[in-house]
Amino acid sequence: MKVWLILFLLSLGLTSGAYSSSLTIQNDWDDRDTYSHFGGHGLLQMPNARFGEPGDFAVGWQRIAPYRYVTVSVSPFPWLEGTVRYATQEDRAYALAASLGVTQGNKDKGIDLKLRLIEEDVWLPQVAVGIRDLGGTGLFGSEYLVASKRTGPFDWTLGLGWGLIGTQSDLSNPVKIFGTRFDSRTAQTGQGGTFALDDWFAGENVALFGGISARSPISGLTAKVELDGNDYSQDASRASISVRSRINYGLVYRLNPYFDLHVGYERGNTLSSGVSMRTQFGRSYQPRKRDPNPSTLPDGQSVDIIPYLENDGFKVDLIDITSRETRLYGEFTRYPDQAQGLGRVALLVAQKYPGTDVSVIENYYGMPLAQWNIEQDALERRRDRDLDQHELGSSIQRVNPSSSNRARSPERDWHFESRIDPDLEQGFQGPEAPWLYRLKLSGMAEARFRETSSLAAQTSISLIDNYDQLVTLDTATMPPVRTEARTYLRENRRFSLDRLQATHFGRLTQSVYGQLYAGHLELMFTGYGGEVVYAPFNRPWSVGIDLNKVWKRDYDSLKGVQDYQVVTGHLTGAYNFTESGISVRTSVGRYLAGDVGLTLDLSRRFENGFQVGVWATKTDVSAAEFGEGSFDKGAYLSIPFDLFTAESTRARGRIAWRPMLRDGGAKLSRMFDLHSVTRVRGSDAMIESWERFGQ
Amino acid sequence: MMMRAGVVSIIWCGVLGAGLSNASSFDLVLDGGAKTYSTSEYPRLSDLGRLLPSQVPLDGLLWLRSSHVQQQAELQASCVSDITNVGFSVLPRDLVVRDKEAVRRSLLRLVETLAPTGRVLEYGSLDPVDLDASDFLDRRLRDGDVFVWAEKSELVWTWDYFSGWREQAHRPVNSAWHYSRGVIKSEAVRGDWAYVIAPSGALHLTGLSGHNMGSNPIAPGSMIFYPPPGLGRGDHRAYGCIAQYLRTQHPTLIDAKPWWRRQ
Repeated sequence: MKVWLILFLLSLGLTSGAYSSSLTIQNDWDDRDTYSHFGGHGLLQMPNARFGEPGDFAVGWQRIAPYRYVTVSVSPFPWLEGTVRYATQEDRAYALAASLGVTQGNKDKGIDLKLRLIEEDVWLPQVAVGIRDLGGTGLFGSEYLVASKRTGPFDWTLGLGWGLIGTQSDLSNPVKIFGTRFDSRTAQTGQGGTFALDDWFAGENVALFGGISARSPISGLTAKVELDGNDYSQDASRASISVRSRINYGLVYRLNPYFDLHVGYERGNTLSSGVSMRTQFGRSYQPRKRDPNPSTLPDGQSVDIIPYLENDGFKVDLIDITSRETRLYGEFTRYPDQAQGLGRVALLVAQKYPGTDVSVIENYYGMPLAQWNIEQDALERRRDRDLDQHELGSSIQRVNPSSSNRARSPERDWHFESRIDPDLEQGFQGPEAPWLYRLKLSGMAEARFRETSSLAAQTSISLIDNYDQLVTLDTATMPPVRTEARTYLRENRRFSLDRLQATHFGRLTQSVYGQLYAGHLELMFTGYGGEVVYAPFNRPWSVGIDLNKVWKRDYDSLKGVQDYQVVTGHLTGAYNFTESGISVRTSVGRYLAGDVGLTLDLSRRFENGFQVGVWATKTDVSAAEFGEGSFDKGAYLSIPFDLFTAESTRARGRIAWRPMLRDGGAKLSRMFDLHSVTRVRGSDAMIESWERFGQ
Repeated sequence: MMMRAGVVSIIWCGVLGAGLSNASSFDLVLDGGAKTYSTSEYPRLSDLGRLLPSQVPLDGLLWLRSSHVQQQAELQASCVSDITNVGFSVLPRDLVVRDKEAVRRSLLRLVETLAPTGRVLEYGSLDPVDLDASDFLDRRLRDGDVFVWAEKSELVWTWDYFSGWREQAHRPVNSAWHYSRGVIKSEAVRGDWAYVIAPSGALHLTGLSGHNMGSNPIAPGSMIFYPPPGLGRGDHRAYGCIAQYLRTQHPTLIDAKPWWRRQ
């Protein structure tokens, strides 16, 4: 929950470092395409066929009475754009908030998707198809087919709109020739969250929309004119909207590479304004200026190497020395690029124990995951700067460590670790308040025994918060396993014992890893369970199973448990497409409310570690029983903190967005996930560049 | 390797059999006049910069290393494979091209006639100040390392399907589009992308068409590769591979003038 930190840093433009790619697209359109009111690239109200570069991320705020929009848009691929949007209707009360005595405009959540069908070239326009308010309540439900063609400074757009942006009814719906199901729209989405497939591209008529986006001679200024496909007769706020013209006008000024300012004159009588904040997460990179220089041991054989290794980002479990080889067991802790961390520790070991080959065995809680074998000659030549990148890469062997490698240091049976971090926990657009926050100190203390066993406690103490406003919404239609999350947050707002868990890890065979755990497994559940994962070496996939017996904890985290108990667990498979960075993870099993179903998680990871993903869970509960949202789903960003700092770190921030927290499809939030842990055994080896070896 | 007119070749040769730690000497051959230096060990790149006579600018040096030849040969083979496997394109621009196999053959010829050079591309600069700041980059030199001084050129070399390699006079304000007009006469087959390889080996993809026109000027001594019509989009993987392979080349490394006639 470091959103504000990230946004603050973004606003300072700290992600401006150039990405050192050998192939970059160089053109004059440094003022890339702009965003529409609804989020996503477009004109003003209408979309166009433009997309961002992979990794583009934008947050927008727009106001055109009676609506306010807050949007988040991401382009995981050059052919796909997704937008999450919160719309506020200023002329209509939010019924749920009103029932709590809070005055707020009505809120509507929506997801938009746009898919490129044809990429622009010399002769062809770019063509895209899109859906607005996909799986929402249908307030802005629309579909469109749109083409854009750029000629010099002008970008021309023409499209066909269905649904809300088709209400100008210029033409008969051409799709009707494919069947009678396209004749009319029901516009009924019930609880929201379902895909109104029957309505897509349906309706008696469609509207033409389009416009021009023109780059002006004034640097950074773009002018827009559009033909609106919406006549506003079907808008939720139609009573407050009058329309005098179908033509909308707008200006977008690019203040700097991160901020766009929008103004417009729309519907012939209404001013609009807004701001977009954008960055290119896919290419963001910070020079690591604050990384310490690689350590060098002082002269003398009696020097303890362990502090130097830990300074270079390696937590040592054991050093095993023979006449021919020095083996180093432990965990990399600092450098995201494995080559950098590996090089630093290998060169140190070679200095301390000259004349031997070096093996570095990467452990996780004493479980060997991968082994790097580096010959003495290669290290000497590297130290002498006599190896080129490809020679270095080919001189290092990566192998599956043998089971007998499991190591522990007899001198270090017990190992204690603790830390305290400030943390901002927050939620937006709740019925109680637009912003709910808790600034807290999060404490983590862990005692490890022989590296493979751990007793960990996670606590938090509130510094300032407004959680006293949290109200438990009595909307549960299933065992309330998550809908009571507000009660847990409110009751533990001063002090919270989030976790108190004992865990034992083990490598069962060459490719099978396991864990057993018991205790307060998360804020809402206590119990015991285990996980076994089969992760073959140098393969892009893993498969595993977890099984847990859990009890619901008391609302006060310092007290015992409630009556509700359940056996929950999943069979999970994960596959990582190395070249594209796409990961697929699917799991089948029983969820916390006792429902049975399947979760699918798709994500893309960029070279710099930035990851964007979506998930959806469908279980055997009906949409009506599930409640608002119809099924569990959401999107997330996982952002490496070193995109914002000048120092290497493996720490990451995760921002997840879930339109509605319900009880169906809820998973236990386990502390350790062995699929993620064993990811380093995969075929990409997490090597970015051998040039960084030892840097 | 023969020297081209106006180009000085610098040859590094370590004493045969010299060990890393043994005293050795090396020759710098400048326009045929040799100078011999003795050092206690093989010099580093940054030493080279300090040893060179002042009239030899560092930004004009090409570093060739035999151990890179094999790697580049693999890249060359990969490009040949990619070109061979480019499929049928239904893009309107491509439909006007009748003999797609002739286009494919021309691309294969382009790649196959350029032998791997061993040019080392890992370094943006051979300036001793930069190398001192980067431990890893300041490599130790080896037997057989060759540095070729490419005298600053006032030409730009272009390749397109219709004209093959051509030299054009460099003009400071000209973009890739301007240079294409000199060799591709028909707008219909010009394409929308070009790959620009700067003398340093830096590679950029730039736009040529109304929708993506890039007007960035081209550095003198650059090569521009215009993907031909007929085999799909200009940012296709096969073209990207060819551009990467062209990075390993340099007009100075070709031993005949004009070098496109070798095709």
